[in-house]
Amino acid sequence: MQSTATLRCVLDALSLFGENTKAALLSQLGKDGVSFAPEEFDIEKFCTSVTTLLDRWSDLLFVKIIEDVCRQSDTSLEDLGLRKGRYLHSPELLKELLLKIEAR
Amino acid sequence: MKNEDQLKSAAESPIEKLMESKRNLLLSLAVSVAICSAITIFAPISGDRIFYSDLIAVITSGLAAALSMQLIFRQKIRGLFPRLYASLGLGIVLWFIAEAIWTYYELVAGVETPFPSIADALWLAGYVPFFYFLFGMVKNFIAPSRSMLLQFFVISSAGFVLLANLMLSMYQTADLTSSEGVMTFVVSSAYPIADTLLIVLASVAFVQLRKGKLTFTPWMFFTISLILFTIADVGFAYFVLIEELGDMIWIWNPLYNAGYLAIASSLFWHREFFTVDERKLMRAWQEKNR
Repeated sequence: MQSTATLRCVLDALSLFGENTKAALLSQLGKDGVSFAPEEFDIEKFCTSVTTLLDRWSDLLFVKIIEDVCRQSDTSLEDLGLRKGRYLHSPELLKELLLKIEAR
Repeated sequence: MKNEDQLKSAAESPIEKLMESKRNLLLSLAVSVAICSAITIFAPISGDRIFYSDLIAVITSGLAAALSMQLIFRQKIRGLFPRLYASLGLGIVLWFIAEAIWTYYELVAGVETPFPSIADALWLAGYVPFFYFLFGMVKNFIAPSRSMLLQFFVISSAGFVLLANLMLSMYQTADLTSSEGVMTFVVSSAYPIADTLLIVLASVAFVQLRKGKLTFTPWMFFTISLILFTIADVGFAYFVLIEELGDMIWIWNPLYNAGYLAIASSLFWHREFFTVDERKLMRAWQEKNR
C-alpha cells in the first residue's frame, strides 16, 4: 500500500478528535519529529510518537486506521491471518498489516 | 551568552518542554491554592471571612467556566470529542452559576443560604454533563482491554465500599424525624454518591492515560479536582447534618476552591496542547504571505 494512502488514513483517523484538536495534534507530532509530508511519512515513527503522547487515546486511532487501511486495500485481517486473539488497537497489528499488504 | 541560551533552547526536546510546562502549571496551581486558602483562613484579620470566601469561590469557578467556554469556542461542537468537552463545559458553567447564586444569598440578599436551595439544584444538575463527559471518554476513547476492566472493577469496588460506609455513617448522624431532616439527608448524600460515580470514571481514565506525555497532566488535575470536591462534599454534608458544626462549614471552602483551580489547570493544559487558536494562526499566515 502506498504511503500516501496510509497517510490519508492516519489524517482521517486524527479527525476523530475534531478538526481543531487534529490541528493541535499534528503540530505536537510534528514537534516530536513526525513528518506528514507524503514522501517522508513514517508509520513506525507515527505509532511510537502518538503512543508516547496520548497513551491509550491512541487506541482509537489505531482501530480506525486499521479499518480504513483494510477497506482501501479491499482486504480484511482475517484474510491476512492477523485477527486471531489480538486487540484491534495494537500498533504492532497495524505495522504487520501494512507489511502484509506491501508484500502481496 | 544569548546564542548559548538559544542553542540550549533549540536542543531541548519537545518532551522536555512538556515536562517543564507541567512543572510550571503544577507550581502555579500550588501557589494559587495557597493564596486562596490563606485569604480564606486569615480573612477575619482584615475583614469578613464569608465575603472573601464567597468571592474566591466565584472567581475560581468563573475561571474554570471561562476556560471551558474558550475550549468550546475553539473546538466547536461538531464530532463526539468536542461535544464531550462541551458537556464538561456545561457542567462547569452550572457549578459556576450555583456558586454565584450562593454568593448572592450570602453577600447581596444578606440571608442565610437555605439548604437545599436553587444552588443545590444547579450543583446536582451539573453532575449530569460531568458524567456524560467522563462516561463518553471512557466508553468511546479508550478501547476496552483486560487491564482496563480489572482496574474498573477494583476502583469501583473500593469506591462503593467507601460510599456504603459513608452513607451508613451519615444515616446514623441524620435527623430523620422531620420531613426537613429527611430532605437535608437526601440532598447531602446525593453529592457523595454523584462524586463517587465521577471519581470511578475519572480514575479509570487517568490510570489508562497516565503514561501519555500529553494526557497525564490534564487527567491528573481532573482526578485531583474530583477527589478534592468529594472530600469537601463529605465534610460539608457532615457539618450540615451535625448542627453544632454549622458555623464551621467555611473550612471546606478552600478545598472547593482548590478543586476549581485544579479543573481550570486541566482545561488550561487542554487549551494549550489539544487546541489551536485558528484566528491567531490565520493572522500569522496572512502576515507571512503579505
